[in-house]
Amino acid sequence: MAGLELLSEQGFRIDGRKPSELRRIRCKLGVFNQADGSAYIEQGNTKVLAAVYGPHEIRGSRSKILHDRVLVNCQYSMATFSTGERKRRPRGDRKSKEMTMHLQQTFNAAILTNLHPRSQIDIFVEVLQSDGGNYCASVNAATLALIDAGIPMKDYVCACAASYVSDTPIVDINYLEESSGGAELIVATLPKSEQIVFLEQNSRLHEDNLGPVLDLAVKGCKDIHAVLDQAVKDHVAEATAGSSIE
Amino acid sequence: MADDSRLARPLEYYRKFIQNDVRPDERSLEEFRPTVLNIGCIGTAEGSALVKLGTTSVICGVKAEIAAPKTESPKKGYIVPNVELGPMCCSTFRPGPPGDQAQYLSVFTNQVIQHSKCLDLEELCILPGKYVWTLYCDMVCLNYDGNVGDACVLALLTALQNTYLPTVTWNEDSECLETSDSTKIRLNVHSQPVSSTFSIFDNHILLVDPTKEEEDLSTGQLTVVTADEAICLVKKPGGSPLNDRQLAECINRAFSRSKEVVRLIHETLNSVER
Amino acid sequence: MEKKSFKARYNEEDRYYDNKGYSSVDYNYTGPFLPDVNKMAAPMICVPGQRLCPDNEKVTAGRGTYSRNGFVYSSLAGYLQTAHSEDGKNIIEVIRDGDENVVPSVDAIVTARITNVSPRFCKCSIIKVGKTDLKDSFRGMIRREDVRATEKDKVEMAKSFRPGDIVMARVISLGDSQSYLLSTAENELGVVIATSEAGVTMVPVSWCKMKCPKTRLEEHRKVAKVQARFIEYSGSGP
Repeated sequence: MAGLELLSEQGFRIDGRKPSELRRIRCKLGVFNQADGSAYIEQGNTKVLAAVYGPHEIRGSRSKILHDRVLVNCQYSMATFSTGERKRRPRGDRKSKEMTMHLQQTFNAAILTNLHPRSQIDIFVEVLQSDGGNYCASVNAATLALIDAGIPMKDYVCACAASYVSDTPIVDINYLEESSGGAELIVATLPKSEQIVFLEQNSRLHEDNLGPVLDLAVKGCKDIHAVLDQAVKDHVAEATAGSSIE
Repeated sequence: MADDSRLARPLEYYRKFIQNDVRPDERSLEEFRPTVLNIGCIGTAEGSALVKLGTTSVICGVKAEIAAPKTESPKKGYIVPNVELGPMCCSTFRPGPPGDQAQYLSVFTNQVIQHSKCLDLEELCILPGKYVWTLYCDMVCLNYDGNVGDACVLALLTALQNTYLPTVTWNEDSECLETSDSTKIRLNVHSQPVSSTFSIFDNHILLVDPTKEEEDLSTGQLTVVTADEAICLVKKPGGSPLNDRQLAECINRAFSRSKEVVRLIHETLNSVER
Repeated sequence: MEKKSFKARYNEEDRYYDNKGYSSVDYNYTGPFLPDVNKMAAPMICVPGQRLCPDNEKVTAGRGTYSRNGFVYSSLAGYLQTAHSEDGKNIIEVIRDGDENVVPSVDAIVTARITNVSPRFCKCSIIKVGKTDLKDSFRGMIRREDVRATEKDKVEMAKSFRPGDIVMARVISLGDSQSYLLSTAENELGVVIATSEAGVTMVPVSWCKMKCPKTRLEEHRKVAKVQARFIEYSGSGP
């Protein structure tokens, strides 16, 4: 993008972060009572809610039933007021459909699906405010919601995006950095076992640079994992403290 | 057998509580759930509010767009309320196009805006006959635990009071619109509509602010919308009949609720601005 | 020997862990296995993906855990709990606080509401598994031959259940894709709550009849002989 300096001469990004610095993460588990599990996450200005229902009976067409494992059903939706320009369709457009599929595939890899055969788990994600990294925030929120719902998982799933700007890899990119036309690498990992479950790369990126960018994204996932882990532990401890008082 | 359990026999379970003038959540029959307001939580919207009525949560975001007015009313802007009850907020809602209840609530909120005259649509005019503002008010229910109608009206009203529009002027020379984001004008809200919903239990007992469970068990519903000192809308869609004394009781309660809510909004707006 | 083979596997398949060490238990810990967390003041909080201990013949991965690459990992966020099984193994479990999500499993006792009765079977919705309330009901079905254990061919469905009855039943199989198959062919299973035609809760008078306290009329049901261990006092009534 012409005239817009994504990385200043001093090595700072538009929002004042260092190249390897994440945006501030705030998260909370168990925000709603109707859903079996729910979570809210803020990554910088991106705000996402996730709710998990299940495992329950298969809904809709019974032909979707899987006899050996659980059906993971996702819905990604963006509130009409979440973007600068009003969104006409909160879901059902191609971008949302793609996102829905990606979420589904990501969580199929992390949930121990064989424990609840012939049932269904719903993961609903609602983006309330979008400032880049929607997929990442959605994955992180959904992970927390799944943990809150007590759905057995192999590991956390943490996602992080990275880009490459003026010979420097940058992590956890925001909307401006995302839309500047540079390379974008999105990774979702199982941080404890260091396995990559999802990887997507857009735009041109030189082969030599893939390594550093990927490393940085994976490192970002780990940093996010540390934050989420603390939130989960706090939540578990808090729940126990609450129940022992009662 | 001491098994009037909540799941197996909800009606019997509830009756035991109602006999003692209390509800399972420890509220009295004419008590609203604690109401929490959070304003300006969505940065991408012109105005926004999050309302929690007990555990029922509704978020409302107002987006403004410039549109051409209708020829018969060249000065009038538009206001388009829309209520969304997605599968996220409750397991009874299915993915897909908006259900009956969501559409009913969209119409209801639209009626509230129109009948309470809380907005003067002519104030949304930029250039008569050419450009006016359209305010899209999207209310998304995040957690459905009954009485979403009241929560939606409250979220809408608070979001509108928190809406700031950029100043737009018509530049005669270049014949185009000029916006300046630096000076924003607050939307003028002329009246404060507040909705209060009552559900009828066992054909004669009135419960204020029903939870989802109470809505499911109810034999009828009554909604009273007040705007400042006046009644602006009363809806009683069928169900058990009520006598005029009960109706008067409801209206009284609606007015006292209205005072509470207006004070709450006032306090919230003040605390944020300071 | 045991120790060595572990180390070999560890290096081979899980080498990422090299310099991180163990979060809870050392892999070459050879003494009496695992600290007794039940006795500790603050039980250890586990999170999904957390390595708990090596998976060998001394331990069994219980609820809330899974084993992979020779280690037991947690799959839930909760507390670590160990128990001793009869054959001397340590059962490692991660227990969650609060309500758990359950799905009916074979042999579980469930509570269901009858929705539909036909001459060959009746349909019901399962509202409770064991003592856990379900947020969402599951569909179940009781076939004519599963109503009682004796004189199966003389069973009349209409004289056993009515729509609206609350029954206790045992899951006998996951059934077809439509519903779980349930059975009431035990003395303790069958109708526990039923409403008479006059709208009053009936009292059981025999294993096949219930009486309305208002009209004194008797109605046929497959009545459960309710035992103390199945009754759960909610204790929340005023």
